[in-house]
Amino acid sequence: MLYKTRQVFAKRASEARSNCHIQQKCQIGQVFAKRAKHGDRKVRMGSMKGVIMETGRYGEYGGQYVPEILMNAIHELNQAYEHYKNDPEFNRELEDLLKNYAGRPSLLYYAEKMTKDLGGAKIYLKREDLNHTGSHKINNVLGQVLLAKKMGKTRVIAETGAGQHGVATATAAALMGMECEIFMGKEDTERQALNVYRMELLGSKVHPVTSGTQTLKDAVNEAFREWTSRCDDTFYVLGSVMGPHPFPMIVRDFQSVISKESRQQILEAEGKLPDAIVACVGGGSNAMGSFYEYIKDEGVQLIGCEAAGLGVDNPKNAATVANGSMGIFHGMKSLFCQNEYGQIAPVYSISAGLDYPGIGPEHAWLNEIGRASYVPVTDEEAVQAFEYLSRTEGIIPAIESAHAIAHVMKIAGKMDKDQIIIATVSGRGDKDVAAIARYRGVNLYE
Amino acid sequence: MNRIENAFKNGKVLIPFLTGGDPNVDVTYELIKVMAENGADMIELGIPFSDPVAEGPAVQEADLRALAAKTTTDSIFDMVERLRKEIDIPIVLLTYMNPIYVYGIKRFMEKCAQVGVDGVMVPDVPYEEKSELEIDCKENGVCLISMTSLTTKDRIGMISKEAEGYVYCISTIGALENVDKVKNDIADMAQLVNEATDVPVVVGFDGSNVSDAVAISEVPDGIVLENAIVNLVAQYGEDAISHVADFVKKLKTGMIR
Repeated sequence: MLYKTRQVFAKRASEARSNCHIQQKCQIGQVFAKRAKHGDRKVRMGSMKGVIMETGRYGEYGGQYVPEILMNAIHELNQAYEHYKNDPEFNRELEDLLKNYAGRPSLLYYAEKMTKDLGGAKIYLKREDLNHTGSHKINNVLGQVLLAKKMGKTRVIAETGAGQHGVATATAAALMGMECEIFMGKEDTERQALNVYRMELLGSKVHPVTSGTQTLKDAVNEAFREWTSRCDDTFYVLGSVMGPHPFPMIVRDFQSVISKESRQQILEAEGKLPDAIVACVGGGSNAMGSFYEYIKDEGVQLIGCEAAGLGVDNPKNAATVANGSMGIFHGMKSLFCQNEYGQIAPVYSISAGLDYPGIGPEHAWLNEIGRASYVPVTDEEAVQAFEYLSRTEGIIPAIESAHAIAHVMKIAGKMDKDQIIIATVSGRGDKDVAAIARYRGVNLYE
Repeated sequence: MNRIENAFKNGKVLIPFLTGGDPNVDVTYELIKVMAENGADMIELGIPFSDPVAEGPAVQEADLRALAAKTTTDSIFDMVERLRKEIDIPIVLLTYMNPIYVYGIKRFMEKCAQVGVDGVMVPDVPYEEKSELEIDCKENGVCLISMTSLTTKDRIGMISKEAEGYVYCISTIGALENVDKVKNDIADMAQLVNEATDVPVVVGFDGSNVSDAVAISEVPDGIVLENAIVNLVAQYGEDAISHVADFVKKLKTGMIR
């Protein structure tokens, strides 16, 4: 690398430091200093095991690609989180909420009938569907809304796809006395009408988003716009392990309670670690939470199930790892479904929660280094799994979670009987019953 | 002397923004030509993006219309290349990081230099991420325009120190209820920029009222029409050319007077 470029980085290191609020912790300064020293514009700090790096990078992925207007809000959030995550009082309050309000720990349930029926690996289900509000989303939301409150914010906003994150945010806002507004694609407000009414019952205002494809991607756009125009009193409760740093890290940390519990639970039940963890992936929050504590356990396979809609070869799908390529969108460098000019593709899935053209940066990284693998599951396979789990175990899963169950149905029979799979049931399926009935040609309306 | 520096040599600079390819590339070509003839000192030309999150609904709709008309990054470059035979005012491209990244940052900046683009402005690349673009911009002589905002006043100095071409102050100035307050805010921002750099300061104006625009333009070195032209194109489509010419002429006359 040119000497001149090194000089540029060295200069920017000292300038970034002199402009930073907390000089000894100036991350920008550290990065530039390191780039200057190594003469490499791509130097990123941190370990190579999917652990958060100081600039919010996971390998090449991640970053903070947001408009200037939001930069102080992003830094403020980062500083507040770095402070409170080590604050005993904050952690005590959060633990109390998770235990006494959300109902944690969630069960690790041995699905004996399913195991026998599939005739292979022992199948355990991590029952996030049993949480208050019916999905894993509450784990992250309680953390973020508590953080918002500590930061002195009085209003929270959120995007939602299936409505699960919106309902969870509305719930936490009601509990903690915050004003709450939810952005939801108009198409999603129609296919998840019950959740819209739930959010309104909880005292939130729901904005149907009519721009673009009118789904999750556009809801994120609008939530960012809203945050841009009003960040003083407003906290953006992002629902997945995506967006600009520090969101992917914050959401992962709050969701990692899933794998913290399941690791302990499986060791108690079986005396050994599982062979595979299976979870569905849209942005990837339940999968990241389900994987995180096992990343260091190299014998544990981590499998994310993407929504393949009508099939990976059909244009109507949302399988980002299978069909996407590297890009920069919604604040992060990651994998996206897009065209040759970088226009974000309209994606499709029967599941509103997986209907997103990108994936969280840490997943893109785990995929790149081969630590996790990502497989496509079609609408039809997911619907069959939805019906199968209902019939076999008496558990109606969310159509999102049914994507994970569908993959378990494919692999369990090929595995040995002494092997173990843990699949995350990320949410309950009540919200999907009417849509699945319609998919099957039953004229049932909510 | 480069075209951007040159543009600021003769008083207040008028910079209309429009989305390339809305309603189609041929109309955009004509629009830029008539704006240059009627007093525009520089053009900010948007490469449409499917999800322009840093802009409002007017620009988003313009971008979607342009994409529906099959506008691509290459068709915009081709148009600029043709325009360069007709006009000599600077052209700054405004687009998001993804179209540049997917095109290839190096290839994109080389193409800019080849067709005669003077600068690029990327609203989702803040100071913290700009090193990714900087080197290829420098090597190709393309100005990387920096943006600042009122909500991040404390960062204006840091950003301005490294600014090239001009500093773009983002504002959410639409209908003017209190002209003096808005002018004071702009003066504050401009002062912070001027303390750190010699490059000129321009301010974004998102309204469509000529007298408001003239009033705002008294403070900074130039003014960017963020929505006015986009709105005229939305209203008149292919027939927008004469309306746009009139609007630019009226505004420029007001700014000189």
